[in-house]
Amino acid sequence: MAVKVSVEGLGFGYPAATGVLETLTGINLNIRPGAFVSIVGANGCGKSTLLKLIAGLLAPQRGSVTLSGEPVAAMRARKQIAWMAQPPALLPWLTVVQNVRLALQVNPQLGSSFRDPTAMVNAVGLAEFADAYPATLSGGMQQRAALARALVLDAGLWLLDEPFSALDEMTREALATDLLALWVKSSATVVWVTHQVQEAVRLSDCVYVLSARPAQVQREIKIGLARPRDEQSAGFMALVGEVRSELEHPVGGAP
Amino acid sequence: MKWSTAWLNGIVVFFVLASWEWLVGVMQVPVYLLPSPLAIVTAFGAHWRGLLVGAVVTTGEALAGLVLGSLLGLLLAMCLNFWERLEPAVMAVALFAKSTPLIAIAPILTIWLGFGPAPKVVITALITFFPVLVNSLTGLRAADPAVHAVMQSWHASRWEVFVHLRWRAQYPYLLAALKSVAPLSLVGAVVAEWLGASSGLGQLMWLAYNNLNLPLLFAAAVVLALIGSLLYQVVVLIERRMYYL
Repeated sequence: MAVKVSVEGLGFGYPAATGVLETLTGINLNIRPGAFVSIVGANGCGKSTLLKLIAGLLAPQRGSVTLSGEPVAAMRARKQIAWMAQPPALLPWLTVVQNVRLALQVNPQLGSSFRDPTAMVNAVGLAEFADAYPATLSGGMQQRAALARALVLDAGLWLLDEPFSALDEMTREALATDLLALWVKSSATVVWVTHQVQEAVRLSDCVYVLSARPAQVQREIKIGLARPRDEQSAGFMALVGEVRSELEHPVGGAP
Repeated sequence: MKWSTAWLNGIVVFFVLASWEWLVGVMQVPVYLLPSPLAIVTAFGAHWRGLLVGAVVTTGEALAGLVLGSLLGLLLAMCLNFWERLEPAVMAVALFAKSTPLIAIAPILTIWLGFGPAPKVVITALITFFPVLVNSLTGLRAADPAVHAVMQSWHASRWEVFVHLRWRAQYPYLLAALKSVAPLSLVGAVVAEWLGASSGLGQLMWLAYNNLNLPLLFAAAVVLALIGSLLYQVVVLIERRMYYL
């Protein structure tokens, strides 16, 4: 079941030698169930921190995060959050299919829906490598395995923190296309942190541009283009330009 | 090991031994100061039964102490992983046990536990448990934070994180500790035997030392070195079998 993400007045800072390094302040997001949303912003502005707060990996210092009206912890306890970040974070002593199966073995939820691990491995194009160890796979294949592990839960909310940014452009595009196909088949809400403006416009229903640190939502840009999107169209190029322009002129920032 | 490397190593060892034999002969070094390799080999032949029995006794004590100390270190590391607040107290006691000289503890343990294997096992365990504790704890805490984040997103309990992630993540650290303490366990057993025992290589070495029978002393030392190497190789073998690609 798709999840509605509500973020209200969210603020967070990391401890620093001279007090607190304010990272996020007054963040408000309202993401409808089933939407594909991208978050873009300058390096170090707090995009990953925002995603960790939504995932419940960090606790908010101000404001709140609710998922379909429930606290994040309740949603995590029901394994309704799929998390994936830049490092594949596979266990090196487990094979690909064992890594994917681990998602079902930890905190097993009776009655919660999940996909078959082997079918999920096949779905990400790793059928021949199901019994391979991560060290024998390329970076792209490892990320495919991590994607299979994240999505095997059939979670209602996918939180993806630059999952493909360490890969070459062709692999990144192929994986993003696969991800999009999997999302279309599901009814999940996706929050995607990325540096790639073109990718954000290609995949998303909406792009949130964060300001400089301490970050706020500088602008919310709706992507009202039909899918699949033509990257050569004037409308697509105009939206890419709009997002780039916002990134090139960040508001706020540390004094 | 390739044949060419084995040959090279053999030639080097032969050259060192031949030089040793030649120098001892030319310089007429008394046998009670430095026996020649041939004298040591002769001592092997004359005392092979005693050396064999001693080796069995000492290895048994060392292995028992190694297992006991390693299990103790591992258990304490697991406890500290779950109850971090206990760390200052546990580490203080562990450091106290580690820092007290063996030479001071061994006679007391011999008085308490007798001349049998018990004090040797305890001393060996005291030597081995600290490196295992420290390495194992470091390994448990060195688990990949990215995997930990993924497991947190599944609402994994601390026990699940331990079972699926931390326990395996500490293997390289634990094996590194075992490689270091496996040969060291023999030192513990021999020192304890030296200070009071009815059998074992340490006792044999003590008798040889008191009789200025240096060829036998050297022969026992060679046996200890061989057993130490064997124990090290056993850990290496376990490591190879456990390693994933």
